[in-house]
Amino acid sequence: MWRDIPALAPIIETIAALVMGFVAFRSTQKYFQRKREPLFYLTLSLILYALGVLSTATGKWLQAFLPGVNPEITTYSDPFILIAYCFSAAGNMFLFAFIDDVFLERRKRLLMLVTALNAITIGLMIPQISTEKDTYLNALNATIFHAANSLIVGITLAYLSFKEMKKSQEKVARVGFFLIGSFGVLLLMVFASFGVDLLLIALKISEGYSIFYYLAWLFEALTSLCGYIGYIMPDWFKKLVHAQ
Amino acid sequence: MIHAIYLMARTGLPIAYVEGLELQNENITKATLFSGALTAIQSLMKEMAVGQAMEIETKSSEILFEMSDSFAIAVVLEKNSENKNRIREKMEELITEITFKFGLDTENHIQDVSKQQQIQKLLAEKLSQWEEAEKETKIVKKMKEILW
Repeated sequence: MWRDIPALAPIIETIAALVMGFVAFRSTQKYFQRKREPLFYLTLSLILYALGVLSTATGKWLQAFLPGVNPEITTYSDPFILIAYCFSAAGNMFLFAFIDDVFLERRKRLLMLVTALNAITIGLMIPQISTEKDTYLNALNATIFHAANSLIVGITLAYLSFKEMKKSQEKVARVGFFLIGSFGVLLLMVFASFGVDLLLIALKISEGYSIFYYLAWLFEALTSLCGYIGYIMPDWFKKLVHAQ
Repeated sequence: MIHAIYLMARTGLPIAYVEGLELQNENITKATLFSGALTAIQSLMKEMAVGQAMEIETKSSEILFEMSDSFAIAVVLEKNSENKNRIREKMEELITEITFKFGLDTENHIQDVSKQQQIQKLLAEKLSQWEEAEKETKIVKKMKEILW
């Protein structure tokens, strides 16, 4: 343990940030090659998710090593988690803009609704950001609201992708839609796991960093993997699919 | 986008037809005129010995034909559809399906209201299935353009 932080936590989160950052970087490269609007939305959402993970990792490192921090009074971990949620709420907006453009043929009202819900999340999170102890716990309602919004985005992406997968006859398209659908499912599993971890703290069953915290990061790693293969679809993977 | 499917006797009489939402306010007169006009064009081509017309193009649409000995199918679709070849294959399958399900001499069914209704229902099913297939290809195409 480093102060209140298990030594594994900042390491896992840093690795997760690097992996998500890599996916965002590859998506950015692809955007500059193809310059298509939906890819711009997707790239922005991946960058924002990566910034979110980086933010929570930064909080953990500060909490563990910043001189003069007394974990009984001050927390750096909690406000950075809330900042991360702000990034991921913004990421949700752009991910839905991508879904809307590709799958829903620009249903403006629905996009506006999802954007508004995620903007409310950011509005709820920002006033809660502070270095006082139990900041994360105090933002329980905003966190649940954020998890619910992420659920909407994840379920929509998963439903539409799996639906397309069933209809598609091409191998690459089927696998691609399966992985994008899985990205949606895993994304909501990440938030659900963090939600359960927070709930256990609120119910005083755990003091944090329960098994659900680690499960959330495991899901996050799988999300990045599905995102990389499903969205970026590297050439080696296409060859592999064709060879099967 | 598929605007309509027409099934007509080789004489030019419409047997059944289904139209997409954008054409649905029209009535049977239009279907009769449409079938008649197509048959007239086909007859003219035959008369002039220039061969059978397989498709007609307008500024906004394309009309594809498939014929059996006793009836013909015409599909009106949006111009430059990516799926033209696929739809043509499906039209051939539909000709076979109608031939086997309802018999070759479909002109008799003009009198038979219940069979006409069954054909009408079949065409409606096909229109929605083919439309779905069009949409699917659009999404796959988009994904290939932007990502894959």
